[in-house]
Amino acid sequence: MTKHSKRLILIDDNPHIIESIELTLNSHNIEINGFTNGNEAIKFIKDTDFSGVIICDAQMPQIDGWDTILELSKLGIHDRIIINMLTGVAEPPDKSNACAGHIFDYLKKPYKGKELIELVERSFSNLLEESA
Amino acid sequence: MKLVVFGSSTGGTRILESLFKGLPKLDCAMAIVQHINAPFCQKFAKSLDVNSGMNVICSDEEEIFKPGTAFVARGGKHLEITYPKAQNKDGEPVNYVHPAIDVTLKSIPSSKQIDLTVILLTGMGKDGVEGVKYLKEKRQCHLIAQSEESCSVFGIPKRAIETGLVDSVMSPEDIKNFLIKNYT
Repeated sequence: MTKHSKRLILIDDNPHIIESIELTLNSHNIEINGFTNGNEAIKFIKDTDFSGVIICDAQMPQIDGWDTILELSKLGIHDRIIINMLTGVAEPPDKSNACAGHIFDYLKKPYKGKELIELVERSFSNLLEESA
Repeated sequence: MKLVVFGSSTGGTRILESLFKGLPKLDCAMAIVQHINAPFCQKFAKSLDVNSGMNVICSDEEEIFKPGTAFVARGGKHLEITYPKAQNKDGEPVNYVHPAIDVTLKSIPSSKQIDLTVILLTGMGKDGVEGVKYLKEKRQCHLIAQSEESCSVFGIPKRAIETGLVDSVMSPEDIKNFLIKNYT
């Protein structure tokens, strides 16, 4: 059992974005783990039986957000995670079509703190009670 | 019989929840094809049900459309409309998803007894676009696409508009007003 009942993973190659989101959500009693690389996040999710909300940047070096989501979709844990995309690109690339069924919502950069908080709250409220 | 079919993907649950909030019981039946994973379908349908006058349920094996009822397509299945029935169907993902909007739209009979409106909401990809092309060739239907500025992702509505088949582009507020005006 973790200290917090809500767990959130941030994946963004820009550590300043992760810090900024952590700051925005500071008072929301959420355990937050940030990763600057999709592969590291996937390993963490596997190793810790993660259940909760994921916010993932789209454009990243090595493994981008779309491939990260496709890898996550192979883990068979769709009943205990909700994935959101965070990106500055208004129109997703064609490869994102394969992710359509796995993404809850899409937050465009630059985002407002209120939009981020609403997205996170909605995501947790949509998780099944036993998973949240 | 009046039938309204929603096709929706990324960001769609938020839009549908805002549309259904305070919506009275309408004189039409509805099918909601939202790209959603199976475990979340029941909860999503319940949230629409408790916040509106419509009777909203996650579709079971076979349902009968009645005015004032709405069926949410179950995650992991396709939803076919063999009016007056709605039926879950097993099958491979279409456009990488199940439920697929295209599958539902292509299943709708061309009977003139069905007064059909299709509403395509926010979402990535192009699911639903082939379905509306098919429908528009076969029968009369009113096709509405969600406006760009109100979409999380202007993918599906944009591709539908590009076909030249969309009758109206509306904000969620306008869609709600359209439903109330036409079905009460």
